[in-house]
Amino acid sequence: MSRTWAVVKREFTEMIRTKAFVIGTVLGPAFMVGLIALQVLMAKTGAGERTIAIVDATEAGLGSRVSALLAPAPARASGEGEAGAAGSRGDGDVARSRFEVELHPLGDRDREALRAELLARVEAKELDGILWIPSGVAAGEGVLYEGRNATNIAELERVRGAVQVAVQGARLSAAGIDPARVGEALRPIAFDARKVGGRAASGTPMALVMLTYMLGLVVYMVVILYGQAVLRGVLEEKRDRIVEVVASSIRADQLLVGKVVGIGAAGLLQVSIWIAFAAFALTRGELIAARFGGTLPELPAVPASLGGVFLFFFLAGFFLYASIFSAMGAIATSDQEAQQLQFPVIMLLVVAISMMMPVLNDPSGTIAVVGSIIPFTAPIVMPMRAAITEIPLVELAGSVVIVTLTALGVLWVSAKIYRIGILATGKRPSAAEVWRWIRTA
Amino acid sequence: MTSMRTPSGSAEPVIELRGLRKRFGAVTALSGLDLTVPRGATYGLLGPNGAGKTTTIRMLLRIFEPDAGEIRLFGSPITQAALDRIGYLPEERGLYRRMRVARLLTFLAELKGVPPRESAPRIRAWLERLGLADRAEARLQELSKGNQQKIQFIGAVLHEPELVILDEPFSGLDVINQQVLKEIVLDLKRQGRTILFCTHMIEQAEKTCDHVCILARGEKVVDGRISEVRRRHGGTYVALRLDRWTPEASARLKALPMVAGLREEGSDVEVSLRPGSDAQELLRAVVAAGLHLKRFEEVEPSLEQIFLDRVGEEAAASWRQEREVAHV
Repeated sequence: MSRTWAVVKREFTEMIRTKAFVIGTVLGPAFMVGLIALQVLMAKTGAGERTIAIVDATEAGLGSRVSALLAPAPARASGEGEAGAAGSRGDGDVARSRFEVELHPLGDRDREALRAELLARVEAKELDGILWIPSGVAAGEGVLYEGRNATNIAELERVRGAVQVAVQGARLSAAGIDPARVGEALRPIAFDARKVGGRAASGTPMALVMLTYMLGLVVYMVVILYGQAVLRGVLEEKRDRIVEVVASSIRADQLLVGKVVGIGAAGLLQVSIWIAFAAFALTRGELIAARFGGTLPELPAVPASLGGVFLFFFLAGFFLYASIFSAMGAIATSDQEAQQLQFPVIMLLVVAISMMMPVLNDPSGTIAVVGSIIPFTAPIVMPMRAAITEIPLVELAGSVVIVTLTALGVLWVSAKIYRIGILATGKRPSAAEVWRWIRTA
Repeated sequence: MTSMRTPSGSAEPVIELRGLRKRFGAVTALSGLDLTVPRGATYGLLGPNGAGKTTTIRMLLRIFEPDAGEIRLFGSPITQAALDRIGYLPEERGLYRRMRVARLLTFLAELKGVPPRESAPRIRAWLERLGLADRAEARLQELSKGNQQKIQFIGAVLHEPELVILDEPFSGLDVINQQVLKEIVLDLKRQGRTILFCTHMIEQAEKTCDHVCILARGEKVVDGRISEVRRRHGGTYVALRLDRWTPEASARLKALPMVAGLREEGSDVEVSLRPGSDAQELLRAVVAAGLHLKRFEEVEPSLEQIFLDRVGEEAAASWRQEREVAHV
């Protein structure tokens, strides 16, 4: 035991003395500060100024109504102007573009000539786009938007919403309803969302999505970075013939466990520093944001149980992958071979990362549940799910058991491969040979 | 440590191997080795590359498991405690290159169960003795090869082991450092520690060791106290130096009726005589043949001669070639 402890100490102290560790530890928070600053700055300046031309072919002058909805006079900003935005409000922290509208009643003018003229101005960047409102729009004729920003979904949604409200108003008026009351009836509601907690975190959708992504990414990053550190360590001992001295003093499985625990402890230390910094920064975050003249999104409330789930799956995931990486290091005889061998391992992690979107959309759906049963994806999927939904205890316990057993099993197999592999040099062993090592070691 | 002062012979052997076998795939590394290393001995494990020396040592240290046979260390089967009483300098040296010297040595001592506060003064003393006191905070990779090897040696003896296993300890060292290391090994021997030398430099072992075991192709050729090995081997051997060596002189020597075989190194020749002949006869014949001598001495057979007699000319020649390559 004291031997394993000596290895743990060595791996830990050597790891935290590396430049990579120091830089990573410092850059992590710097990255976070940068992220916050970027958000604030984007909220302030990132929103674009859009100038669009509305070509109105209707006789009722729908175009001016759309124009009023899109580009309200500053004085009535909080009134009707907030109209079309299904989804753009709600968090208060999404940057909104400002529109300026140029109205062109079509009247008797030649449509093609006008189009050519306007397109030339779009080309010259005087305009961002052209909105064509046909005369039969109330009867269902299609509205067309042509513009350089036609891929900006949020902006298109604003434009579409404005047209929608204008047309609805026109239809209601046509049905004989008092236009004043139409305006009242169509006044947008204020829509906001808060996720409710239970054992999961609660807060605004935006903050929760951020939190969930962070949890998944932290596990992913640490497993990759520190898992590969384990692989490099094993390879170094093997390549530099260190292992013979070590193996004459300590059993291979003790050495392996010491290595994984020591390097894992360094990873945990780094993440703890990050989290401590993040916690500090967030309590002071308003001040930092205020210096840039912005505000921060509302913070989610994180229950302690989520911390527990995260810590368990973080550690179990690291153990699982670090054991695989160590076995790869024991099999490989050169850096290039190690690169090839770790490719499938990293693919497993990429599969887990690709489950992030489906899990966010439906944290209790099939993909999320399957992802938390498969031991290789659970370490990333489970903390994410736990952040946004209350996981049934049976599922949670089942996942914990599966991941734990798999980690132990992989560690056991890895130790066997390791025991023989670390002394084998020369050419890379075939799969059949590795299988023989596992059976005979 | 009191056990170390026990006179050798009265205690159980430090190493006892019975019927040790090991195969690697189709290659038989060791086929049934019996070997006994008495306490306090300086024991040479000799043989050409591939004879099974390193495999034997690795099995002693539980790095490999034997396919069959029994290993006893200090009178009992291998335990962690027994392994802690062994210090090992492997043939293929290797250390954590990015670690600092003192830190690395502390770690190696800790692996053998010596806590840092106990190892610290020993590390200082050893670095002092080997002239590396000012390099304690240097990284291994900043050290010369020879100095790295000294550090590795310190790592092997830091925990004051009763049995020191040195696999090719002198290779890679310059003459001065070879001498320094020899002094230290002698010191260890005087302190009553058992030393297992593993080498293919047979002449060197002949000078340093009191016991030997020669291996070839996984089998024991001969073993025991060196004087005993020579006596048991029997025969009459004469070392002579020719005034001037020529192929013709060599041929004339070989043609003499009482000469069974020649082992030549420059103008030094070791002659083995046919049974029934004696040295006087040879001297007369050499003079009669008109060969001029600078030296003529009846000697005990060298280990190399014994090896040659036992395994044949071919194996001995290839071993000699191997050593010459190593010398260059």
